Amino acid sequence: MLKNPPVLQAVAFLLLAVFVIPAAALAAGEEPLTIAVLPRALGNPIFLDAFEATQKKAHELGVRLEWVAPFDFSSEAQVEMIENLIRRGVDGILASVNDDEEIHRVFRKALDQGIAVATFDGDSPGSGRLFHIGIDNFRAGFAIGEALVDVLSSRGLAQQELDTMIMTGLREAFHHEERIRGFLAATEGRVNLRIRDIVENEDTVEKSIILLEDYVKHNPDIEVIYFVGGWPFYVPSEALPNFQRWAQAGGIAVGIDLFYDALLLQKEGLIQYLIGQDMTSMGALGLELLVKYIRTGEAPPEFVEVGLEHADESNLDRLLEIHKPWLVK
Amino acid sequence: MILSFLVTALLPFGLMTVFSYQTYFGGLLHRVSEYSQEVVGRMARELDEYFLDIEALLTKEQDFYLDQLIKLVENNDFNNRKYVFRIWEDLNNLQRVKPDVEELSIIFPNGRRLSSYGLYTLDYERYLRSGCGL
Repeated sequence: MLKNPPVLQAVAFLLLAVFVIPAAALAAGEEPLTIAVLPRALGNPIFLDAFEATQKKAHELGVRLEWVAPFDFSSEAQVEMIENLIRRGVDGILASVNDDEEIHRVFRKALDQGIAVATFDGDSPGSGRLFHIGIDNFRAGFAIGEALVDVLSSRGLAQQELDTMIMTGLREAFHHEERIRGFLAATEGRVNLRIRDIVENEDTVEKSIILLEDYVKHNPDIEVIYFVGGWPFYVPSEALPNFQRWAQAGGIAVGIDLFYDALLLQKEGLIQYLIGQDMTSMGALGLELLVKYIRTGEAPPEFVEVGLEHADESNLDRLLEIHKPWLVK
Repeated sequence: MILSFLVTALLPFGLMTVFSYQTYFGGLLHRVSEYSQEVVGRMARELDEYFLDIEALLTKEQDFYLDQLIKLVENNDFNNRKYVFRIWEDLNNLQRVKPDVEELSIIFPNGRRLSSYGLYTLDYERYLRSGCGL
């Protein structure tokens, strides 16, 4: 029977219909998931650890990663980008944002269209996002406040009134405000800080360096600086001459964000204590949880906490061996 | 007498009017056409210069960071932060020079785009089929 050409043709067609056509249809329907990750800014190197880890994780999970952001932070530009991502029909969005009304609106729009939305680093609790992955910012602020209390106590300055400057990114950023709130809660009643200024650098590395240099030049009598993030720490100490002079004259600085260049500044005595956040996990685990939710419907807890890393004199050398230089600035 | 007065007085006046109108109108047309040609010529020159500028800005055949990045992308090596970051800085600086340029991107053969807005893939055919997302 199989020698009969019309029968052979029929069998071949049947086999084709049974195996090849469904397989081809399956393959055609198996468009990889597209997940857009929006850091706050492309120009802020703190997100590079997350970028690298997220690329690796996307490759592992077989999803298409889009890493999009304005070069300098702009909430309006982020909103516009999210609108574009919604129009393009991405499957998921993981973003570091401000907690403002426009972000709430655009997140709700994405969720209404079936796009899974979560946040990392900068949260927007009022937006209805699925989950947030990051550090507990209040606790991080509290921890750096406690570290400052220890530094001041060891120098016999706990009772002395100390003029303090806080450098933050934006007052509208929920996570920055939480870090300030935690810092003030930890230091209140234990040391005598007089907050003279809260300087906003608009979440921009270049601006933070200019503002810091300018500030310590015009306010050399400031005694303590608390950096809510590590914006000005990407450059060698020679690029911060005023800050270097200020630190050598006894100025005390503590801050959040820990990376190789910041550790070098600490090693040179320009910063007394640093607390870092695990950006690698924020990116990779955040992506993994979002993809898992899209594929299986399994929702992670509303807040996924990643750890904090402390740097003081006792472990500085070890941390300098662990952290790689980024060589981007 | 009135008629002869009108003829002797108004006829030369009318002739002078027609003559001056034609002379003035011809001159006006000539000047307008000359000015229009000058404007069009200037615009053409400015457009040429604009595109030459952009072409010069975007000529990156011997760009070290781009060459390194291409090698890493081809080998699926994600240890590329140094190169990606510097290219983003570079694209951002170019956009500052030409602020009316909406986006600058480097397109890889696999469809990935390293753009002044980050790293993404845009399937234009699918995008157009879907009515440009509208």
